Amino acid sequence: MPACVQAQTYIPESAETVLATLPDTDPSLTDDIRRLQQAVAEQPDSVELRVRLAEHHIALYRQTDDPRYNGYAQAAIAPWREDVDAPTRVLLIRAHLNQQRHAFALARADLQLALERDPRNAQAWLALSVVERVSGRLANAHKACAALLTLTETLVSGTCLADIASLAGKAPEAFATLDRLLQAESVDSADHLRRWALTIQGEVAWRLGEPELALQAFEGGLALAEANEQFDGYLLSAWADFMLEQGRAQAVDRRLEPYDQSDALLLRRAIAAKRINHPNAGAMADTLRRRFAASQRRGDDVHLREQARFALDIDNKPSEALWLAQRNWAMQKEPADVLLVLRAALAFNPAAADPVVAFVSETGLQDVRVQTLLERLGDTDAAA
Amino acid sequence: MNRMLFVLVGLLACGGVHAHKPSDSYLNLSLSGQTVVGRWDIALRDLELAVGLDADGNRRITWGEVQRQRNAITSHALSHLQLTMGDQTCALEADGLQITDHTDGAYAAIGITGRCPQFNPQLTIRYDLLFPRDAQHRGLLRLDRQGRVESAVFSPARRSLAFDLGETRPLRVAWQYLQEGLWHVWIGFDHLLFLAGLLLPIVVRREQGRFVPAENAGTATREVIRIVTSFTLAHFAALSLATLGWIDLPSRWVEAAVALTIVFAAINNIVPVVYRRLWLVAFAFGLIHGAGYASVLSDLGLPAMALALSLFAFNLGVEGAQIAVAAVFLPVAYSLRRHRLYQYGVLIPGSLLVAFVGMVWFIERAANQTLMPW
Repeated sequence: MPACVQAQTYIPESAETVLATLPDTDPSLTDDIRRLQQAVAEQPDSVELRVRLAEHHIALYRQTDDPRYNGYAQAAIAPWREDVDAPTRVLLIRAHLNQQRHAFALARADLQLALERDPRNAQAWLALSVVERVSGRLANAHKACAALLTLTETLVSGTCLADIASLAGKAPEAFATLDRLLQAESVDSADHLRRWALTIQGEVAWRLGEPELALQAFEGGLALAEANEQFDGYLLSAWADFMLEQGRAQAVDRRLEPYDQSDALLLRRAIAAKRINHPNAGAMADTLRRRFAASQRRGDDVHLREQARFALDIDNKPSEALWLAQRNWAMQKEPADVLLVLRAALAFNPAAADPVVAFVSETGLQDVRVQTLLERLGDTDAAA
Repeated sequence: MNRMLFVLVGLLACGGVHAHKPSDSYLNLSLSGQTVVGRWDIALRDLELAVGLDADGNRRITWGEVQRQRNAITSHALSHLQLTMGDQTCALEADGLQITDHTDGAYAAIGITGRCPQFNPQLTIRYDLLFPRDAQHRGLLRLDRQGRVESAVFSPARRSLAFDLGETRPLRVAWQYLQEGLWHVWIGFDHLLFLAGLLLPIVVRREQGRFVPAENAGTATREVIRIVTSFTLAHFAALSLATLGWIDLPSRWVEAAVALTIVFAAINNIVPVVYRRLWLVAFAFGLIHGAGYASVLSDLGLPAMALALSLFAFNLGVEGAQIAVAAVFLPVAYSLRRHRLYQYGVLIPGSLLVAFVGMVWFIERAANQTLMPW
């Protein structure tokens, strides 16, 4: 078992040898954090100080994508670990942390509690829509987005609603809505909101079988991220998946090279590397294998989607991929998860696709890739 | 609105983009009796948080900076790890600090040595590194108990793990000891040799310079079983007493005495001192052999109940192996008992050989010298 093999120890060559580089974070944020930590140490009972400290850490997490900051945030709100009487702001932080570790039911419970107390809390509605969307509960997700209509600017509520509608059989309408929102409303909107809308639009266009429109939206979003020097892992992953499907592995390898720290992005790059016979393809796959093993030793389940994809696209182990994809399906039901089960089932055991096929017909998901796979599954049925 | 924006960006990361790795430390411990050795790998990122490494604040941690903080690192680490056996705390010391690489970067590898004041199967390990600062930190423990490896994870909700070092499925342990017993006879050359010394004259014994063959197979068989079983019973008794600590003989002299019994048994075949009731001799010798083997089992640190079962199983194995050897030997020897070939070609030279090897062993063990390679 590779996890049990102890790595070699060594003594670095010289005292000047650099062993680690600390993340380059916003200095004003780190200064604030230092002050807040001191203040919390002096007044450990202050809700306000602890909440602000946690929120600052989560802000750092968003800047860097480094999960350690989630751990620091969780430590800051440790007094309310499972407390149902926790202040509303604590509930929102806790929901974020639970969602990050795919404990969607816990996240949902905290958000519902927060909304019972404060039905006009836009942040809670938006977070709830995301949790419900991931869980495949599209009607609930739609309700949460609808609640945003009177609470936020139209770009936010509109993007939220269009996204859910696109998954529920109204993809062309959703694309048109997003187009309208981006043209009319977003001129004054913050760049990261427009980036979000563009990401969703790219995904919808891709599912509709419009690669040019998809590429245009993705590139638009990436340009905004680059202009603001902001990292957007979700957008990069979506773009990379799209490009891989378009047969443009070279471009994926090039653009993702700076982000090997991210498991999801390294996975895309490793798939690209394999396709173009990159000399480091094997090394990338090994790094991923070791990271999955390390995560498993911790007892985390957050990599199932990536592991299933890895088993399918790198290891060529359809039986393992199917097992992982099914376990992932029990937690996450987004189009990417639909695709994984269908692909693995088609490669190993077509009958295993049944629950996912039922989900697709219930929700009315429109996705050209899903459609192709369903047709192939139909062929195997007919053959059998 | 500000807080609103704040949540949006992160929500996008929900799709499973889990960059980097959460904080883990790797604690590998090996336990043998009261002695602990091991290695603890802690990420430099985490040590920066816990004790501060980046002295010049340039966000780069160099080997020099790590070395300067060596004492702070080891004392911080060791003050967040505690091992207890029963209610007594084991003394832990840091034994060197090097660097090692995990999937997410460089870690300090701290060597650990320790000793517990007294062996007790109730082992508790307490771990609270970093938890007040990072609630998602995990301590990944790998505990090696003489080849039996267990993995466990420390978390803020689980800062203490208890291990019952005696706790195992009793039947599996018993089976293991039964095999040990069989194996002990098979590879324990002295055991086989002694057995040979006792078995050779079963089918034909010397009496006043003449060879007297056994009257019938039944007598010979009963005699074999009596000898083998009385030996095992004595072996069991002595082994139990020694393992439970009720008798404590210096092992070197017991070992030497074991060798002497082999010499005696062999000489007795040629120039008999004891004719009848050989089983009594076997019983006496079994006591000595049992005491000699006790050190092996007492090192394993088993709780009383498991110990009793293990001892029983072990001796059952010994008995089984001896019966098996005798079962192969007896029919052949019995059919040859009247032949001069057996009497002069096997019994006498065999006994001489056994006596010679036993003598060499005696000298080796008494003088603590190595004469033969086994």
